[in-house]
Amino acid sequence: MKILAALLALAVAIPAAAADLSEDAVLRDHLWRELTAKPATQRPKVGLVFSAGSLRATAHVGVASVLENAGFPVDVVAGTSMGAIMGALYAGGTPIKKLRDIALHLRISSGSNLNAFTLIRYVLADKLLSSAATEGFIHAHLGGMRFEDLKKPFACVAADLYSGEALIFREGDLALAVRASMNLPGIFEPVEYRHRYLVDGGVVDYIPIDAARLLGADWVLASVTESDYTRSKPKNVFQSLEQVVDIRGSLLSREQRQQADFLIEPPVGYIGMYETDRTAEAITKGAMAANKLISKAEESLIIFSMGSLLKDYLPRGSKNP
Amino acid sequence: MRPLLATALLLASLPARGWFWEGADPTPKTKSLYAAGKYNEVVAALSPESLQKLNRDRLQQAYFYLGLSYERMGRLTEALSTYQIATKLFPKNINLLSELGGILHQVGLNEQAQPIFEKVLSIHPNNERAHLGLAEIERQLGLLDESSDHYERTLEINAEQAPVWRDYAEVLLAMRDTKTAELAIQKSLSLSADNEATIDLAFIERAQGRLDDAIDTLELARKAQPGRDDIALTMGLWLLEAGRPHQARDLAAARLKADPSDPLALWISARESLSEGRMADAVRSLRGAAGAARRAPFIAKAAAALLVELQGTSGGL
Repeated sequence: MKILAALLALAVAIPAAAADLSEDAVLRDHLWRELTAKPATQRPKVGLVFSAGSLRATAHVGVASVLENAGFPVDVVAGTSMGAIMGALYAGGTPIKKLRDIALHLRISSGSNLNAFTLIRYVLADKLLSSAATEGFIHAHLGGMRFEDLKKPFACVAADLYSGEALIFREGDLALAVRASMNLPGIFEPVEYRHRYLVDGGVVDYIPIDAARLLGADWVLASVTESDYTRSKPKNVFQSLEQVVDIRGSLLSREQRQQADFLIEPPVGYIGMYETDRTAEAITKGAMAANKLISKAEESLIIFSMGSLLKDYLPRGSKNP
Repeated sequence: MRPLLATALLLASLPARGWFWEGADPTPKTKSLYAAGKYNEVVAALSPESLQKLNRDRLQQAYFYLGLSYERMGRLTEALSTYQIATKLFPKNINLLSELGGILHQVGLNEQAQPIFEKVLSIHPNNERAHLGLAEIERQLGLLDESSDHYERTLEINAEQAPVWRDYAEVLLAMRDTKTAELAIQKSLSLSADNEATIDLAFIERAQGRLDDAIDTLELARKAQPGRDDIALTMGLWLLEAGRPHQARDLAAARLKADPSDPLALWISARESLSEGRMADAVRSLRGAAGAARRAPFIAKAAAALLVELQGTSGGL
């Protein structure tokens, strides 16, 4: 009640919205304009990374929409699991509005052969489901593009069950790679690829910053949609598997988040792996989280890019720094 | 005690019980008091005792004027309590709901305000206050598509609001729809010659790549408010963008004369020195800006980063 009273007392002093002409804001705006006007080859290469996170990862669409409004340069994209699907569509040039529409219509069956028969077979005959539909989904939205055809360089990660290694895909068959990247172990049968046995990359590379670096990113912004697994009490085999994958992802992400230059973490940890009716909420949370931090993200990239900005400040013929 | 005594005497002199429902009904009187700006008198007239005696319809109106009067008097806590009580009694009254949403939004309790505005729109889809409230909330949350939709609906209902056209233009600018943003800001300016709208127009022209026009427009805003250093220094940065460092330097120098430690003026001065190859001057200015972390943390960081980069140049430091 005291807080409310304080807010009420402050309310009369809150000015109407207007262009922010504070000194920090105008310099940020000015430097951002200078930086984003530079050819991509004359500024740091920017990587955008979408973490794993099942349907929570639809929050990446909200993050991407804020970045786009800000004119954020994105040179390379990397993703894992659902982050790979969103990343592939984004790197393929799918407009944000369409990406949002796709995310809103995602169903469990969008990427699997789940039906009553396969479910009974899964339970009674220990026969894993197939994720082959994921390939059809990618083909349907990107028209059979390969990695080489995408508008932005893209990489995604799968885990090899034979070696335990992370396999980073960045060329060749895009749909197969994305399918492997989100091939949840214990539910979907592993994808066989070049003598490897591939499952969801989230178990080895939850936030694939290394994949973005491999594509040449100098500065990486990662959108992370980790689960808050402490809130759930698994009641069946699916939920238990989800919990294990989420715990593993969380442990991995603790280290990986240190490698990002900037993190945006939409608060979607409470959304379950299969809650398709909450994708709109996830997207909104993504946009809100990104909106809160967008100025700081711009500042971070500007500071990182100061060397390339300085080159334009010196008189022609000066020795470059 | 005197008003109480007077009331008691008055009550005793009245024969009919129906008096409270008609003659003593405070709403027509409070309407006129409110219209006359006599908010204290509205509050006095609508005491808890008098409210108890009103019928349902008039009670809703009474709460409405009571809340508004508290708002106008700046007594927001009382206004909020009034609307909260009233909306519990009359949960479908859109006027009371939208005022409650408005006050919650005003104090930044947007998560509470948003569902109230949405409820208003579910009852009355053309409620201007609710559309505007949602537009503003969504803008603050970064949900620009949704925000622009609600601004459009607000302006469809009432197109004569210059500040709303300006806010709408700012949202469109943030969405990089500079063509529509320009139309919206011109509409705002046609309704009211507001200098903030002129500044917005300058930003829109700059976003369209019309930097010279933008500088001319910003100059108009600067002339309208010559005491505003923020406009002058923004102009300084834009002049740097336009390759006119000497003019930028003059603006920075004027500011530094009044305040030698102004971090943005120091930055502009440093940039001009760099462009002229005067490294020592640039370094001096940048050191000054880098020391202003409390006043302008980002400028201080940027200046420090530029100093580090300059160390790599042959004649930098």
